[in-house]
Amino acid sequence: MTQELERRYKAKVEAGQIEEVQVLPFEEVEFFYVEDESFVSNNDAVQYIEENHEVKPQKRNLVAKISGALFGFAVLPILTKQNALNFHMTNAILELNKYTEENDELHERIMELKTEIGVLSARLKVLKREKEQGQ
Amino acid sequence: MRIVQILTTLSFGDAVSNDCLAIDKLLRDNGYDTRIIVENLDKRIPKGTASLIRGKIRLRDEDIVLYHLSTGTKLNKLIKDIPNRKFMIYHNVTPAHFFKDYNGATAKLCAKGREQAADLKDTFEAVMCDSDYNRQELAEMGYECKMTVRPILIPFEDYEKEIDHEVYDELKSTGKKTVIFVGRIAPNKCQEDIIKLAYTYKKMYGDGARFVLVGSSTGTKNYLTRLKTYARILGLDLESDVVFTGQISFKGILAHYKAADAFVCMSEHEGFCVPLVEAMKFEVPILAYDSCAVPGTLNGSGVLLDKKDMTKAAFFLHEILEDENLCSKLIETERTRLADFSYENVSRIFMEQIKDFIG
Repeated sequence: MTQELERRYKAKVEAGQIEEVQVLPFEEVEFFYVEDESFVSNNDAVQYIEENHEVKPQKRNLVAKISGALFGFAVLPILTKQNALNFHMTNAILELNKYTEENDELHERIMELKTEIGVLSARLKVLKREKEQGQ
Repeated sequence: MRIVQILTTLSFGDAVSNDCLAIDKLLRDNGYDTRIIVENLDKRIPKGTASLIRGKIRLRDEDIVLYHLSTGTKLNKLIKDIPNRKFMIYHNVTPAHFFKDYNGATAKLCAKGREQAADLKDTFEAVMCDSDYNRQELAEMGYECKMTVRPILIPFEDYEKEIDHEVYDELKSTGKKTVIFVGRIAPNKCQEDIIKLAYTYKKMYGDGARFVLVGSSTGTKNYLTRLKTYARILGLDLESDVVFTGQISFKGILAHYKAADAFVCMSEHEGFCVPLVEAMKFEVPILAYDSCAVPGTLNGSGVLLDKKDMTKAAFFLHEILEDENLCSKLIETERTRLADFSYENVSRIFMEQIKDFIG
């Protein structure tokens, strides 16, 4: 069958009934690479973390208790300041995350529009080429 | 004595899994005690069909191993240290370069697979290959053991199942000829050349054909994006000229074969190419690029393209679609070739080879 078709094709080409059609090479098509994680394992380490720890009361002698209290008085103001700082820091991180998400969405949209521009300009080139070749 | 098949993944519908399950049934029908051991098991596979490897492959001393190699996996290392008698069924591993622009993880896996395949050259007593192409590839890797060629066992009774009538009616309602390719969206299968062909065909003969690419794009979404962009740049409509179905049901795949007027394959790397045989089964005329295992699987049936000249390919396709006499002759050649892949024939070849292997 292949030989029969080859013969028919040759005859058509020789008779000038078939002209070669030029096609844009696939290699000229640009695309934005996105990370494809299809082979990344679904195993999640979180499932191995034990969450219910048993809390055991500590028994301390008087010296330990006094030392603990003194240490507590000295450290408490610092801890309070630290907690306040942590609170502000958490708010700042949440705010930053919100902007990061918005930023990602905008980035994605820009990529889509860039792709669209790429498609349209490449399409224009193809149309020009087709016009020149009278296809 | 048990014959234990070991493979990385046992799933539904892929050629390697189908082959493994068919071999298991065939061996049991011939009185052998069998087992299947896998690294990953599809949840839909009935319980008791296969057991999962948990850390170490557990075998009895007298077990004979049939190892399916088709990808890069830690099994390729484990198998080397098993002291049992071992034989391999080689399905081929796609060369990494096809994936390097699209999926780094897959490219690494493929590179590893080919490296491991070469590393296993002195591991097996004998190897069964799906095609002569695969056999030659192993010979080039330095395999010196006995190597035989045996086509994949295809469960043809599955193709008698009910088709998806809705899909079939939709395909037939377009008023155009349906040209299909079935296979996952993958760079080695060169779907871009089918898009090129669709463009060329449209330029030469008008809107009479619709090209449907049936297959999942899992792990190749970058390639799919590039293909769709390419089609749009060429001015092809993604509904009426070139269609990407994505992953569809088996019934849906059957409907596509049933509705198809031609099957086109531009693949540059196949270890066997089961869809060619499926097209034969549904009496769909085939036009394929002469590469890798494709000419061996067709073996004179269908039409082969010696090079990727799309003007010539479009002409060939047009003749196939429009010349009924030629189409009938073509289908006749495929019907003859299909007989070679019958369950009876391939199972006879398999049993002869396995008996010869194990003595």
